[in-house]
Amino acid sequence: MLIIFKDMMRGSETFSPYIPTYGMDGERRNCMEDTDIIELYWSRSQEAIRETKKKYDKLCSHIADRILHSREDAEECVQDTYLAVWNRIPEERPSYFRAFLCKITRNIAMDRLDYNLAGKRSRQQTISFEELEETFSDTPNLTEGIELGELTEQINVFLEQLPVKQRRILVRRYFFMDSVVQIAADMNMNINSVKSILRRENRKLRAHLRKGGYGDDR
Amino acid sequence: MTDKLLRAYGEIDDRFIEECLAETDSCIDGVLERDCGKIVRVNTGRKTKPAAWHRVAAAVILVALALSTAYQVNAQFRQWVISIVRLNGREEIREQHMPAASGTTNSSEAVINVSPVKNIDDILEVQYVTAKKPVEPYEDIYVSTDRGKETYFSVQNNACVSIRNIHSFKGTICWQGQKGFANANVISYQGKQYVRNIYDLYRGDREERKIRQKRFLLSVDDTGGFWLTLSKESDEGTYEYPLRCDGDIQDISTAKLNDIFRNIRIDGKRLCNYPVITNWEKISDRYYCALVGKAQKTAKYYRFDTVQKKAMSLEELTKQKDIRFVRALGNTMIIGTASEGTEEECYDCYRFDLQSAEKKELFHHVVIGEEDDETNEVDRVAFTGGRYDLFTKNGTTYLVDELTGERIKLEGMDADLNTESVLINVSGDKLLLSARFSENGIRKLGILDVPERKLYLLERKNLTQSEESSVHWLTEDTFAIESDRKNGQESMICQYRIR
Repeated sequence: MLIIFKDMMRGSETFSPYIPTYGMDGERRNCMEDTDIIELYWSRSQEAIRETKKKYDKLCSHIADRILHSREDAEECVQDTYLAVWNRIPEERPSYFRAFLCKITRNIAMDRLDYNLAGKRSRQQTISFEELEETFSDTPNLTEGIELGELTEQINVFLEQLPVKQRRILVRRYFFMDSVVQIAADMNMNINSVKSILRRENRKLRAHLRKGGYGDDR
Repeated sequence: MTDKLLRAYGEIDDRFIEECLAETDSCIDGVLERDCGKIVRVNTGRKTKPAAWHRVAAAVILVALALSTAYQVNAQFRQWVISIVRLNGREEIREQHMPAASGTTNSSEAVINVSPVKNIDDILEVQYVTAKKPVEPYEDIYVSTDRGKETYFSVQNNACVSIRNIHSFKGTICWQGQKGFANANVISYQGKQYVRNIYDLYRGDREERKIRQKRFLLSVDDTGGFWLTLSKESDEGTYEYPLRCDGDIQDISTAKLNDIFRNIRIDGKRLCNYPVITNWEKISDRYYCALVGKAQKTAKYYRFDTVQKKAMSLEELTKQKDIRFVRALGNTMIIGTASEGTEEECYDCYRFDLQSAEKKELFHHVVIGEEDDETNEVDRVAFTGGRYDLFTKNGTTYLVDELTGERIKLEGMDADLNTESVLINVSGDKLLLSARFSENGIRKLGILDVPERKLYLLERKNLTQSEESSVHWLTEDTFAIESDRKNGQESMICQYRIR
């Protein structure tokens, strides 16, 4: 629903009580260091999962919830994340444990979303990125011939050369799936600024991919 | 296509995710905790998601409209004349290297520099405020945030003047069995009062955290009266219920809350008991309207009569179905309804006179405010929130007077620029137009003085390292362009006053 508002009361900087659960849990001060948690995984101590949950449950839940829009599904997804981390850590030693967790959560949530949508278990579950679709709709074959890993690499190269602010906006939107409104609020920006940056950077990404020889001209 | 891109984004370099999370720690939580047990930086000065009636400001802050130098009023279409006043030369903003201003009084302000006033063609006065910490304008004062603490200052005669008269309004409030938390600073300066709600994330016990999920947000209205709005989010939607503060605002324990909507019921149920109540509009001291319902998706607009204590459905009142937004304008309401038979999200907009019940269509099948430089197929309107809007049809832009319905064609619009949004000042007589943000900031500014029927055009170039991100009115004749540098650790504000 479109919302048009006007200041009814002057001088108020009003706030929503919604607290994005992006950050850490309230009890985080009593949490372990990431390196210590990883050590626990390496030593196959089940304490590792408890400590991960204690420290990053909100973060993982936030990511899953943003994708699935279902608390129940998100909770299951986060549980699956802990199991996946448990299974992966002996083979991998992540440099950035938080990012590692985020990626796993996101991928599991995306898989779950695909599963839900394929079975039409929930018609409500859709992710809409109008600005992304808008930019890439006229070049439907742009990413057709690219392997996923190659596309990620291209995105990495593209993100690398962006100013921090722009990069952060893209990552929050397309990795963390945050809404434009939320990004604008958290980054002290106005909504239209965020929208414009997204559109502009998407166009640049499209140009970057084309320049790389992908799409029609390949 | 987009699915593949989103999948690819899911595997991006960990560094980018970590960078984002590190920033989010500080800006969202208000507390940066890189290491457990250590609070590295406290920052409670964050802006959070603006609540209902504040969002229009956010929605229109970024302006993306500019008028080309070829802007002329063609006699064929002339209904009244706009004189074009092109300011000479181009304003070039360079790095400021100056000692702290003479008005600086303590170390906290020592990092804030104020440039001398510069006149631009005797039309505009410009002043640059640079700060080695985050600073933002707030109405006509400035707020700086340092280690989570907000301090306030004013720019007077080329100097930074600290504002000391600050009263903290903080504590738990209980109303109708609902406990909520209030935390605001009331700033008094030169006979005017400003309110800043402070967002802080409480990390204490569960019960207290629960209380703090509900917030009482303080505000001051046009008459100087204080209001507390109980604000919370639920699965059903947004709840914002305003209560007038009749008691002494100096003491939170004696602040007396007056529910002026107390006896108003919808379908026998008290207004305050609906889970969704939001999008408030004050039509007059007597009439208000808001979106009310059991869920956000099914909520409907109602008009409330605070004298007769009655609620009336706006659909019933205006005989319009599917009302999507409502805005008060004098004794009229501007209402938007979903257009039928259009693929895009289009709206029909009407002006409804509350006294005569006369209804007039202002816009038909229009898209609102969205930037789209690919097509001119749909008509677009950029609402300012005031009397005047910009309307674009077939690539031609018109200034529209909502009260009279008059449309004035603006010829010679730059084809590269969009009429995405336009800003109106508090008194509603000046429109601020600007070019899009570029690497050198906003290249062009246009100030349309409606009573004077003049459009002042200023070309500018920002040669500093700061990154301009927003433009907005501070007072009825002053506007500012905000920018930040060093990833938001430092600020710069270009403040323009129309002489």
